[in-house]
Amino acid sequence: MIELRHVSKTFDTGSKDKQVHAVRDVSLTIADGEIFGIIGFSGAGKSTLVRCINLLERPTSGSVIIDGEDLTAFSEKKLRQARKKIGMIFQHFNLMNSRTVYDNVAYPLLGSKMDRETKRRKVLELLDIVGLTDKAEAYPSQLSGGQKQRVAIARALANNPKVLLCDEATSALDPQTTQDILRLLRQLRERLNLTIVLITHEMAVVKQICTRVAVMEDGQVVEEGKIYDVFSSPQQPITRRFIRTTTHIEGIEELLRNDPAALGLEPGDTVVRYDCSGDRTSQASVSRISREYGVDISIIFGNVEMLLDTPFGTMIVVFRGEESAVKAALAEFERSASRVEVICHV
Amino acid sequence: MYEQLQVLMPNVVKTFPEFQKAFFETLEMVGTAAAVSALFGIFFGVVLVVTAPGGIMENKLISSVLDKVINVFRAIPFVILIALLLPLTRIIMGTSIGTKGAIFPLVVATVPFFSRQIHSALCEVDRGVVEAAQAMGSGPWEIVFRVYLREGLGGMIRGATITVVNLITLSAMAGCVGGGGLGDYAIRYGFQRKMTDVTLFTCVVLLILVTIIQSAGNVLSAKKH
Repeated sequence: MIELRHVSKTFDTGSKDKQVHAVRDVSLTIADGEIFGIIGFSGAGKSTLVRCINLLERPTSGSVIIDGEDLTAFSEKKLRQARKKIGMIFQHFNLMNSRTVYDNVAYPLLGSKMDRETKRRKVLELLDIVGLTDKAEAYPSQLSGGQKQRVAIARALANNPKVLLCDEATSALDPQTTQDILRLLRQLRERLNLTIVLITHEMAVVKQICTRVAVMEDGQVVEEGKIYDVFSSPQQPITRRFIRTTTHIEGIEELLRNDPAALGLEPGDTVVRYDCSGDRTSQASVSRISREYGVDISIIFGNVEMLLDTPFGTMIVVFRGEESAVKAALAEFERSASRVEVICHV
Repeated sequence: MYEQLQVLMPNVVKTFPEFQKAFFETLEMVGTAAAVSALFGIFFGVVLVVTAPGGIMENKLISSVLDKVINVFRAIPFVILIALLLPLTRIIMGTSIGTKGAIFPLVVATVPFFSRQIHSALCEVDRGVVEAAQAMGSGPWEIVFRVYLREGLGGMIRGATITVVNLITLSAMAGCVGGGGLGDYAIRYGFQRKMTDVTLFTCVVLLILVTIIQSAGNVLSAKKH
């Protein structure tokens, strides 16, 4: 378990009035086996926060407790030992160009008491896990971005860590490779019972892989919760902004505001936003209600997100018909959905 | 062949034993000074990098003092440095003239230069890689030997090549002030006795020497990715 208690980090930039408060009083608890996402725009302090977990950045105040031990109280030597149990991967991979893939993965084992044969088997096993056995003798410069990140993952796992920190690990990769790496991370979590802390600015990454998420803004965690809860009912404006980046709902809302005629709306129509989740997404609510109440319901926007394997649907529908029938249909609609919001009456 | 050489550069042929002696003196001066400077240069270069602000063993005092000392020594012209160091050279080397007397000032002049070369080579090492090593639990010394000196090797070899070429130039200058070697040979025969062929021949020999060293340096540093 990782516990951050009132962690703050302030950088001095010379004069007193120019202090930068990168992280302000952040408290988080991350349970074993979680994939915990920390999302924020650049400059929000998320990279500094993740570096506070393995003390690459020493917090100005607050404590970092991993499995009951306060890392901030450790001596340098003890801290180095503790770091071996916290793997880390980076946006730019940070592999050593002068070493082969094999030697990069073997690096964390240098100076360990393991005998040569055990080390060799360990490195080959790690390369096998990430699917790069055939690249053992290649140099990083000969690999693609995705392959480099796989090497970095293998290297991070060499000392059998319990925690894996990912600092924008997919931000330099193309969408296809991002998918591959995320899939690998999920497999690893299950196989090795890892706890993964993942920093990103991409909501698409968070919704695919994270069990919980914290949203950071200006050095603070402004919202935190299970991925599903945060996604289905975001509390903060910034969280909504992040969610919009993946749902494409923005475009249709703009169209509704600026040019409703383009959507073929007629006077008397009611435009409704409708969210549904989990098993409800598979129920044929729209056609059933349309039939039962004798109203026309047309869908002008629809999107289903997979939030860590739970479907979450968003629709914008138009009700057309007798005013009383529409009212009754709407009431029934509200019962069948997670959330119904009337956007406008034309 | 011999007759042709005698016509082409009569004085070189006449003074050839002198040339041979001077050539090996140059090699000795450059070789010894390079070896000693390499040790100190790498040491100071590493110290500069690790103690710099944001370095793995940040130390403002050491960093700024060393930085200034290096700048001071780099600012003194070599001929003046030789004169300045005379008493100290006599104490340390036992003599202030000849090959032996030249080595000490050569080292003093080269160490700051090479330290800077090493410093800039090590600055090229990706901060992210150093950070990754820290995240993997490497200590400062492990990072110096397993990351900096290894990842920065290509740049260090390039710096060493420039330094050795520079040393050859300096060693010739040491010849002007009683240091021996090819510079001394060229001055005594080529300049003072107006034996132009000696001057030209010495130049060609130095040119070849420099070319060989530069090519070797290029090949070695290219191998190190």
